[in-house]
This record gives sequence, C-alpha cells and structure tokens, in this order.
Amino acid sequence: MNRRRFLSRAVVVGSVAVAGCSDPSDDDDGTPTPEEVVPEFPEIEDPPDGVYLPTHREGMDVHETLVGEEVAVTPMVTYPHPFWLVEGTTVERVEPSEDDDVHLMVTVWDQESGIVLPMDAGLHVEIEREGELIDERVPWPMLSQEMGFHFGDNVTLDGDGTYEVTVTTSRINIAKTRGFQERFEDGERFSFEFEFDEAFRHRVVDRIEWLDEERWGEEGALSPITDHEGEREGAGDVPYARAPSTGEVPGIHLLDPETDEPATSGDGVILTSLVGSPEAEAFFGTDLGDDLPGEEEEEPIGEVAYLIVSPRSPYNEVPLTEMALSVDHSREGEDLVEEDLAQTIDSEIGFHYGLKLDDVAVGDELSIAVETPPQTARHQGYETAFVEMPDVDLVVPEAWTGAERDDESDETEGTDDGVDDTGDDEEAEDA
Amino acid sequence: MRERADLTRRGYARALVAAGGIGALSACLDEFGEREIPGGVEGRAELPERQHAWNAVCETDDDGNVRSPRHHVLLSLVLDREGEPTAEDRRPLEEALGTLERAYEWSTEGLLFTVGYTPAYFERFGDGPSGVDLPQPTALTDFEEPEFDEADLLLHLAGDHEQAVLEAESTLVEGHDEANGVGMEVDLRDGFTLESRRSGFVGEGLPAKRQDDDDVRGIPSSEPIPEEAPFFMGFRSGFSESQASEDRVTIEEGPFAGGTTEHLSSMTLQLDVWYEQDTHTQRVAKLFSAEHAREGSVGEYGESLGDSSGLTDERIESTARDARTEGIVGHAQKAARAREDGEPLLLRRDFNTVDGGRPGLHFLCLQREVEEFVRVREAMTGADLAGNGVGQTLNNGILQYLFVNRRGNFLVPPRSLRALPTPDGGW
Repeated sequence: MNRRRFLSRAVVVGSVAVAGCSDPSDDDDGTPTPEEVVPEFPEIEDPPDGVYLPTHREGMDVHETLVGEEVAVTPMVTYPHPFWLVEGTTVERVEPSEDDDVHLMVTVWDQESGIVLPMDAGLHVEIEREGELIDERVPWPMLSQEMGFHFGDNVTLDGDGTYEVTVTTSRINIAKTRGFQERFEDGERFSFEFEFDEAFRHRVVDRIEWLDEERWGEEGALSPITDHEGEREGAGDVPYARAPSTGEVPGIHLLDPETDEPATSGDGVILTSLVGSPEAEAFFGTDLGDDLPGEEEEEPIGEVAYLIVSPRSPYNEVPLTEMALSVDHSREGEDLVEEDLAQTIDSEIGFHYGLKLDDVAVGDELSIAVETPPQTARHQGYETAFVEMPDVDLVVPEAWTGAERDDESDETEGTDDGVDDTGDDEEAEDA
Repeated sequence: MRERADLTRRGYARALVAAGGIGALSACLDEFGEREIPGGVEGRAELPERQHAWNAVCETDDDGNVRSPRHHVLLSLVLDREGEPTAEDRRPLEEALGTLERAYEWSTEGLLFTVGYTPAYFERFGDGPSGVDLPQPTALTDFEEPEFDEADLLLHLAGDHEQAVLEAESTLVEGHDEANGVGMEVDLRDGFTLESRRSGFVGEGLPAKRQDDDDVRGIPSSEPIPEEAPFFMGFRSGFSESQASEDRVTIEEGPFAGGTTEHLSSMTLQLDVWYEQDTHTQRVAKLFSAEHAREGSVGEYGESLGDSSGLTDERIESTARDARTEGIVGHAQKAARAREDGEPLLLRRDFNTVDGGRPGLHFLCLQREVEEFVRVREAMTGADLAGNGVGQTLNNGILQYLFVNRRGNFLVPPRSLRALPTPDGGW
C-alpha cells in the first residue's frame, strides 16, 4: 500500500485548488490518473516567518474518546501527511514515506479539568493486526493549528484490515502544582480499533477542505477544530489544548512597554505574570518550596513571587511546550539571579513555565531567555514560527506593590469577561 | 526460512543462524560446504580462567577496535531438578562444555562462549553468590515493562562462522552427537530444558543485508543502512576508548574472582522513524552529540572516528548545557557521564537481531558489578535532562527508538566454576 490511492482521490477534492501544479501522469495499469497533480500537500513558497494559513483543513476520523482512571485519550486517524521536526533551531520537513498508510494522532487530557496534558515521557503506541505486532513507536509531540497540542506520526500498516492500537501513557514527571501535585503518578493503557480500507481512505480525503489558493501563506491561523462542532464530523469531541486567556492567568501581568500587551517573541505570545503571597505559596508545593531563603540572608527589599511564563501561539493560544526558558532578574542594572524556569502543569492554568523568585520589587527587570524554542514537531503553518525566539525584556509594574496580598481577586478571577486576547477573531475560513 | 535463491551468501548465513537448529546446520553445510574449523585444546586448564577473555583472540580493525564475532546465539536453560543442583547435574554440563573446548579453537575462527547464572538460579540455594551483588533485574525506566530472564543459566555462543555456532548449539541442545569431529558423550536435554533461544549478528554488511528481507518488518524499504555499518542504527560502536577493559570488568575478590557480571537487555528498534524521518545530521546528534553533527566528525557510519567516540571531557560535562541550548543530547555523550575518572565501566558485546521478525538489539554487556550497569543506564536515560530543552525521550539520545522487552542479570563465574556453582564457589 502506498499513498497513491489516497492521492488520486485527493485530487478530486482539491482539483480546483491545485490545478496546474504539475502534469498528470499514468498509473501502473495505464489508467491515466492525475497522481502527480495530486496535492502532495504543496509547500508554500516563501512562507512568512510566523504563523500562517496552510493550504487546507485536514480531514480525519475522530474516534470515540477512551476513558481511563485519570486521563482520557482521544484518537484520530487520517491520511499520512508532511510535518516538520525541530532540533534546536533546525527545522526539517518530513515527507511521508512511500510506505506510510495513516497519520495517527492522540490527545491526552485530564478527565477532571479537561486540561490537555503534555505527557512529557511521550506515549508508547503499539499497532497490531490479528494479534501480530505491526509497529511500535513513540509518536512525536506536535503542534497543529486545528488540533492544538497532540501526539502524532505517519505509520506504515500491512494492507487493508482492522488494526488494534494500544496507547500507553507514563507518569508525568514535570513539576505539578496546586490540584495536580499528587496526580498523574501512574501510566495507563488504552486500546482502540480502526478500519483501514477504501472507505476510510475516501472518507478522510473527502473531508479535506482546501482554502482558496490566494490565501495560502497569509498571516493567520485555521480556527481550532472544536470551533466547528456540528459542521465537521467529530469536531466537538476533540479536546483542544488552549492556554488560559489573559484574564485567567493570576497575578500582576508584565506587559510589553511599547504595546501594553503581552510581549511576543518569534511570533509566540509570551504571557508573563507574577503571583504574590499568599496565593503564590499554592504553587510552590513540594518541588519548589524546599529552597526558602536562609535566615542569615539580607532582608529582601521586595516580595516573594511565583513567576508564570505562559508562551502560546497567536490566534489559537496553543501552549508552547518543550521549551527551555530562563530568567535574568536584575535591579537597577545589577544582576540578582539567573535561573531556569521549570516546565509545570497546573490544575487551573495548565501547562506553563514556573519559578519561585524570592525578592521581587517594582521596577525590577526580568529578561526571559528562550534557550531552546519548542522542540515539538509542527503541522503546516507553524513550522516557521516559534523557532528564532529573542529574549523578552520586561519590567515589574507599579501594580506589583501591595497587589500580592488582599486584592489579588481582582486580577485573578477574570474568566469569560477577562481581558480580550490576541485576536481570536482572525478566523481564516473560506467563504 | 527464506529460499537461498534471493539471498546473498552473508544474508543466508545470517538467516540460518536466526533459524537455528540441526536443519539450519545441514542447510549451512549443504550450501557452503563444510568449512574447516580449527580444533580446540585437550583440557580447559589450557584456556584463560576468565570465560569472558575474548579480546585477545578477536580481530582488531585498522583503528585498534576489537571486532566482535559475527554470529551469536543465546540459549536460556532451566535445570529440571528442583532445589539445589547435584553432581549428577554438574557432570554432564561440564562434560558438554569441555567437549566444545576440545572441538573448537578458542577464537572467532572457532567458538567463544560463556555460561552465566541468574539470581533465580541462586535462589535454589536461598543465598546469592558470595562477594557478588547479583540483583534481580528490574524495569529501569518509567516507560518500559520488560519480562525478566528467570531461567537458571544463559549460554552465549559466538564465532565468525555460522557453521561452528550452529553445530555447537545443535550439539548442546538438539542431540547432535558430534562437534567439529569430536564426539559429544552427553545429551543436555536429559536434565535441562531450553527456555528460550535468541540469536544475532554484528559486522559490516550484515545489517544492510536485512533491508531486502521481506520476512522482517520494520526495516525501511528505502534501504538506508550503509553497507559498511556493523549495526542497524547505521554507525560503528564499541570504540576501544569507550569500552572497559576485561580487567576492569573482572571480579577481583572472593570465590568468584576472575568472573564478571553480565547484563542482557533485548529490545526492538524503531528504524522507520530513525531512517525515514530523522536526517543523518539528527541521527549523529542523537547518537553522539550536537557538536559531532555540526562538525561532521563522525562520517557516514562512524569511519571518521577512529578508536574513539570523539567525546571530549568538555563535551561530556556540557551534556546538561547542550540539552538547554542545543535542544538535543547524544546517547554516547549522556552515557559517558557515568565514566569513573574518565574510564568506561562497561564492556559492550551487543549485537543486532531479527528475532520476532523485527529489527532489534541484544544489548549484552559485562561489568564488575551490576550496579555499574545501572548507573550507566541511568546516565543514558538522562531523566535529569528531561524538561530542560529535551523531553524524557524527545531529542534525548536514542530512547525514542528503543523498546526494551526483556532484561536479565547474570554472574559469569570463572571457568573452573562454570558448571552450576554453589553460592560460596563450591561444587
């Protein structure tokens, strides 16, 4: 089995969009098929250095969510397609191989809070057919405009038939805060089946929605699949990893002085906030609370704070995982500390990078350095963004004074009526 | 087994060893004719007391690296008798092993072998081996659920010629009555049961030959494995500078002085992703280090490295830094962090396999104490690096491509105690 069957079908759907890409060619049996015309999911020439509209919305089968003890897993199966791997700041396009049959995706989420989990140990996936192991792999953590954060990979099968997939999760090892402190200590195992046949191949390709060619590469992003509940098969069942909106992130926000908005870097929005006492203590937990300042140290000028850095994509606010961040904290030009932030999953704000700072005063400078950009694989439209990410220089605002104690509720409990964010309305659908 | 017609000589030889048994032996003799294998010694006293003394009789390559024997068979045997073994069990085992020593030269031209004993074996006595810490094997990462070797003993047979390895195996466990012209007077099937058989190969050309084998799933059909690569992952390994010496892995004190401990992990390899998604540069970074990849110091299959994995102290020390700034760390770089005073702790004698119809690795290594293996494995796992620019598996060496299915720990006693020793080194 190779992709030909998918592709010759895809051209029917996408012929308007891709007409003229290249010449038709003959199939092995002499039947003229436009195999080469097929949208080999065309590369967009010279895409912008940031989030852009890809060529199409993916079609897929969304399978029933598998419910475990603690976490749930939503599987999705579609045709193999290109994606990009990131190693440091090197981005490599991965074409499906001739043998690849499906692109398999899973999203793992917490049943209680609905938060999509980064599963830092990766997932173990085994694919069997009639009891025979066909493939075993650790799928890539991926960012997609439509799917958000998920795990996925192109996989080679063994012909048409019924396949059983077993997904095994491991304990979450990154820092866990507040309601998550004692959670996700054990892995779980899930199984589902899917049918690989002609009907499947037609169905998923039929569901592709091509954008008008003139829009390919425009700045913007496809709206999340979840926004298309009712229009697209299974859309409402997909959990979408979305970082908390500005209003949902507690504490005093540090804004870009020029725009008065959260700072950006490499097209990522670097939402940064300082949470003061007593609320900050809830974050310190067992991991961060052990290093309280020694008694003999000088009386700090400022206050204890929990620093939250919540980088996310523009438009869809997909949290950017697998980064290495550090902060350089200085006061009046004098360095105080330089420390690494810890990848953290919190029961309310989900994935973020956190650090306890002992002595934060108004006017302090915090420079957030992206030592490694998100090492997650990328679907089309995200591969040029979040790669070269310069430092973000922020200053602790006046609001920090006294804000950390009795009036934090004003700042932290914004929910639906919270501050409007970075432009959700730049919806990119075709008419 | 595949028909001869569509396999090259080397491919066929490897397939025969994978299949094993008297049938494979006779197919081997039919196909290649009987090769003259050099004979052995009169008595075991003429051989080194260390069963693991192989290096002196293995070839070395142009860079001075010891070249592993090409063909390997691992036989796990259970002693049928319950409780402590007796002289009735020891005598035939010693006789069988002595026959192999008389039959084959102790070399890669003839036969090399070791016998190792599991913690499960010593449980028969209710006591572990004296002076040796031989722990039960355990899962060593959160993301593995291996089976454990619980048969009493593990025989590792190795040599460059499939004929010798297959014949030795047939003589031991299939009732074949002659080894290289030397009569076998005992049948180990009386008293022992073969619990499992594993096999494998290492050396230039052997992994590449598997690429066109339809019986093996999980090797990319685009044939990316370099012809010169001795391992499936496409690179040389076992550079002399990263290998412990035989002295370093030998137990120095107690009744088992002269012996060693052995760890065996059997794993499958995910080569589709390795070859068809990762680039050569990424493979080099994941196996060695980002600096190796940047400087192109490895070559296509490791030929530029000579006798060393090319890891400077500085590179090893900067592993954690590399994770945060390069977004990737190399397998060799991570594992080297466990060196003591710059000295490697493990003597690797691993080899590839297609057991189970998938590409895999039998990672066999020797060390003075099993705990040293565990330390190296922890360094290689690099859990301390996760979340700091690399994931638990993502860009964290080659963990993403290895699936450990089985682990075993063994005591390889000195030659004189190799037949069912008691915990205090008696008979």
